[in-house]
Amino acid sequence: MKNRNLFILVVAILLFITFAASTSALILSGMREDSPEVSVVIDDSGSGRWTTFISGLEQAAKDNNIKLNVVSTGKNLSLSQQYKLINEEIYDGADGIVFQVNSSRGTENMISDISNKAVLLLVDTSADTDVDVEGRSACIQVDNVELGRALANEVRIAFDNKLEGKKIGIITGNLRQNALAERFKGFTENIETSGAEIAWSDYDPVSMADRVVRRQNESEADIIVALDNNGLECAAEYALKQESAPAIFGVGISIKNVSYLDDGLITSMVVPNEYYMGYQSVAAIARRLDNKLTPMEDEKIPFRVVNRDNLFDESNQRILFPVVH
Amino acid sequence: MKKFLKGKFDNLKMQWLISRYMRPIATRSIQVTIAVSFTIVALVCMLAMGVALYQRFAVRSEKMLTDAAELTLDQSVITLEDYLRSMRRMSDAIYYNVVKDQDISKETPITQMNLLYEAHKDYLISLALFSEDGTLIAASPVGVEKDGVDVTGQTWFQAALSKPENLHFSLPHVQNIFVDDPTFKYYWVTSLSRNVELNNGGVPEQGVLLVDMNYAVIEDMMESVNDNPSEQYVYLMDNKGSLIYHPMLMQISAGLFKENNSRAAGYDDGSYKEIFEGNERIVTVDTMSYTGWKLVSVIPTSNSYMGMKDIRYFVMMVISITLLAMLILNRFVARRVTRPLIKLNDSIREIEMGKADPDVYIGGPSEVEHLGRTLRASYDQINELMRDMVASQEEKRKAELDALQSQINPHFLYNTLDSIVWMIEGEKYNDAVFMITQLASLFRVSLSSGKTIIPIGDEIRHASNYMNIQKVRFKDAFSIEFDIDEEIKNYCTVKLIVQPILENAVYYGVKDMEDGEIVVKGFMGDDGDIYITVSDNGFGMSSSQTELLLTDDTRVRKKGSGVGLINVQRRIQLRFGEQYGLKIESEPDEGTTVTIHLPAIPYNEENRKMLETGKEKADEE
Repeated sequence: MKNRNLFILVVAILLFITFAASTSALILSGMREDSPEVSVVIDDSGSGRWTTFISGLEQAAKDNNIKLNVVSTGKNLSLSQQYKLINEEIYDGADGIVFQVNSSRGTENMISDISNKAVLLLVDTSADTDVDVEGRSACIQVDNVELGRALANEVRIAFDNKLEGKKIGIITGNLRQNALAERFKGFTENIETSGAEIAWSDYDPVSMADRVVRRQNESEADIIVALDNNGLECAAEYALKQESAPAIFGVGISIKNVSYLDDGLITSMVVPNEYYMGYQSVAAIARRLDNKLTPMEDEKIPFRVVNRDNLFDESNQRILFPVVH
Repeated sequence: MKKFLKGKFDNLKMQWLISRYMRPIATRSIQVTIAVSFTIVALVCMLAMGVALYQRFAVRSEKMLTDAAELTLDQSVITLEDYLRSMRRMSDAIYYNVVKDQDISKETPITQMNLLYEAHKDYLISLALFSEDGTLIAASPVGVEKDGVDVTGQTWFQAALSKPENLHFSLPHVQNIFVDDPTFKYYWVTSLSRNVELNNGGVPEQGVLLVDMNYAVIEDMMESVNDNPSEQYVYLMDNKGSLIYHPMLMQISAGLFKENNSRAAGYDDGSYKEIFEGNERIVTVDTMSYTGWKLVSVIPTSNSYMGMKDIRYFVMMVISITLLAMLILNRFVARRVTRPLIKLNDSIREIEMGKADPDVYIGGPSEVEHLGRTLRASYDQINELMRDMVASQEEKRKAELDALQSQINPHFLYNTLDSIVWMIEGEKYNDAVFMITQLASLFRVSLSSGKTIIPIGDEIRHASNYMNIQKVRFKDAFSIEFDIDEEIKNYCTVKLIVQPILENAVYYGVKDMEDGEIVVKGFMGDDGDIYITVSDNGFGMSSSQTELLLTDDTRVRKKGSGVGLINVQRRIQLRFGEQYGLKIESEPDEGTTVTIHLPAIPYNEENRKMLETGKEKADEE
């Protein structure tokens, strides 16, 4: 009899606790909790190169109720400057960081430190990391080796695979980033077998346009290949001023490059789906913030090859001209 | 085989589970049973009511949502139609008021087009007039065509020429005609194109008039419709299902989201329920006039008003408070219902514990009250029976003590001893020895080691010992004859039943006669019972006297041992039952016959013990 009373008492207490807990949860959920904050640290955030990417970020932030802060950054920040910025953002309450690292080497400590404090997602390029069994950080980027190869294929197709004796100048982009190094590798591996000669390959973060002119004066290339958006813009602008312009290929995303492609300055352009990259990076952070046990996973984003003929194809329009206002 | 074994195992497991958990429940008190049953019934009712209410609520809220969606769609359709109509009117204005009247070989309608453009600048990107071969005749506001652009390949141009009688609205696309260089700007437009007749120096020619509407206007309109916190959204598509506007258009083109637009294109106007990507949703379709564009509202039904989490908390809250209330209420009710039964149960427990004069609870509902009354009645009856039994045992003991005491009746003993003394004085030693032997034997049988039940043989020996002594005492004034069948000697009898009858026969029958005769016969009757008759040829008695012998216990006896026939009768009946006992037949001056009627129970230790200890057994027989 005593046991039974005790049992009923325990059940009653449990029910009461459930009632109290669910009531308070209901009341608390009525009060809007602060939406998590995600800060975005990318190189030269104001560049037109990021427009698509940022609209992807913003859409995902809207869909996942996240406060997004794209940190204003200048060009070519050093790793330590980026590190400082990120720390400031975390100090200001950022729960997640979307980070385009400017140099992929020697980043182990920095990445493990940041991923201890906030959810970290690397975009555009990978970086050196310690072993991360918990999946506290991940990287979303395009398959860069494959992209390099695709670019080389475009060169081959444009010249009907007759590249014997052709000279190629390569604007490599920041090779300290794994992404660019991989693109370079993919491209050169593919193009080497074509018989083309690499006249020069160079990169200057500050005055690439001048460098192109100088390089072309030293050893003129018939084909200029740019492995990043800024390089492609430089190459197109160089071509604009030439009477007999070299054929230009490259990786681009900015409306400027699209316009150059439309004008026929650029023969063929590889466009990574940066809207997808932006959307997925914030969505992945949101998932992780929602459930700390969800491990972050690396992801490869798709890319398209665009030329003047298919520029206005329905499927390409959305990627190339995302902002309609 | 494996499956069979698994089934078997599952069965066993089930049985084990049932025996492990159900049995304790089965033996639970009524209170728990009632509480549990009430709880289950209440829960079932609550669930049924909840489901019914939910259904009603769902149907109603669905209707409300659908109505609201239809209203929104209607309004949006009106706004959009208005916009498109104004664009058509403008196209009409350019065509009928400007182009038709002008000879394009002399002047282009650029001024009028510029004016119209200025007036509708907010909605327009550009106006342009092309000849049939795609040559630009006039355009506003920008007049420079891109290098190498060929409008004849563009869909709006082809559509205008293929169906000259219609106005054509294209899907949104990036305008690819004019140069707008230094700003690198590209515009999203929806093209309204139509076939026009041109007057080229008096020669009629075909041409295409293009009104490129700013897609942002449509987008703004739609965004204002979609600007609400709910998950409901509205999208726009053409009659073939190609998306014109969708709040998640970018996600869709990036492959991050999917829309069921190709299916919705087949819907007529109205609301539909569909399951898409595993989610149930209500889709409302409204078709716009002229363009055939369809405005589609999508409402996911899973969580129309509240967030999923909120509903979960709410359900948990309601369930826990209801269960708590039910627990308390049911316990209270169960306690009230079972209180009389518990009191009754306590009374029974008191009886079980052997409490003297327990107070049996009578009360509560009629059934329980009846139970209480019955219990009290049976308890009283049992008590009475117990008292009767104690009394009868007491009586038996007393009767036997009386019989025993009668054997050492001082008068009989004194007379016998006096006779022996007299014999010794008269030197009749042999007679004295005989008397003493008989007396000893008499007492041995009387005592019989405290046994009450003895073999008939012993009883007859006792009777003959007694008669031998009496014969000596009465100087052989009467004769005695024993005729006992050997076969009955080993059957049970209550001891000391023949001697009192003989005593009566001597004292009231043959004592004062000259040739008195007493005959004792023992035999097994035809009915299998044993009969012992004691007959004398004495004075006999009247039938009224005979009756009194076995009924009147108050008679004062003057002679003999003092143990009357009534004592014998009672002792036989107490041991063997009412159907046994004595039967007296007497005729005055003829003599008297007393018949002892006994059941034939073979004498052995078991039967003896049974008869001595249990009256019940004897009763049954």
